[in-house]
Amino acid sequence: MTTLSITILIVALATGTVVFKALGPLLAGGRQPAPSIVRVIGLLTPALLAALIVSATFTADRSVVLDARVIGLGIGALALWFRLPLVVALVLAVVATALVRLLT
Amino acid sequence: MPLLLPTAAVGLSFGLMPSPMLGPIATILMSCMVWSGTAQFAALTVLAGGPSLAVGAGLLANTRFLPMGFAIAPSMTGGPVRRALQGALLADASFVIGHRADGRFDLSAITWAAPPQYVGWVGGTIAGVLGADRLGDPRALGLDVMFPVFYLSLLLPELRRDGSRTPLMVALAAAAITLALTPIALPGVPVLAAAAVALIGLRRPKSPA
Repeated sequence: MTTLSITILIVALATGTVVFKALGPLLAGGRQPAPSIVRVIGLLTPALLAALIVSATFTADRSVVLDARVIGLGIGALALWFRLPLVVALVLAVVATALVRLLT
Repeated sequence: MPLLLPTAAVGLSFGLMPSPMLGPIATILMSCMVWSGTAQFAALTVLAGGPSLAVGAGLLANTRFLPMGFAIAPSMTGGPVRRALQGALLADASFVIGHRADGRFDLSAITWAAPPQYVGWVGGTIAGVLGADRLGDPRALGLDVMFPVFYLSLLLPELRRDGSRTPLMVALAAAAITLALTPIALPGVPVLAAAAVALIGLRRPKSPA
């Protein structure tokens, strides 16, 4: 891979990402949306988060896998469910994941 | 601080990942300029297929920012330049943190969430690149589980919101779609398709029983 093609890759990714993020605010700022649009926007958050959680936990290189991350997420979920602080939940999940990998 | 930790952990695993293909400097520059884990991981996953495929996969992975940008736009004030700049600071976690109960967005929360996430991302990448020889496999440390647990902490209050079951149903459907599409679609497509489940909100809500 040449320096030029790496530069083009980085600049294209950076530009495209900023355009995606800025286009809506540029075109549709300050207007009041219809109630149905407000409901869609409200549901976008749980849909997006669920999809990101699943793809970060159950997938590796475009295949569906079950590994130590599932245990870690489960422990983290329990901690959050019992309303422990986020930092505690993160540490418990990380330790659980590392332990499972160490033992398997 | 709660934003910085998981972002830095993911940045670290990114810094440890691609070194042979890109080299250390390009890896760090990529995090400085692109500042988007989803796009960067997606691009590197297919980098062997050539740079144009990598750009395509990376941008496809970020198409979700288009609807998210249109979602925050109505809450913005000021001229188009100011709005575009604020939009450029958007990130996944900021979107959720800035989302208020009445469906509008707190733009100052989104703006202030950007610096810790940027510092965490770039700092984590640098640490990963520098520590690549010493740390070995970041998976052995279990750091890769931080990201989903962090997102789960953002999701739980969304599910408890306004006593409706719809957010839970939408989350479950989105999870199922992501799993189903992962083996067959390019990186980014499953998450985008799952986000489309939110369109069910176009339906008129049933009158309370």
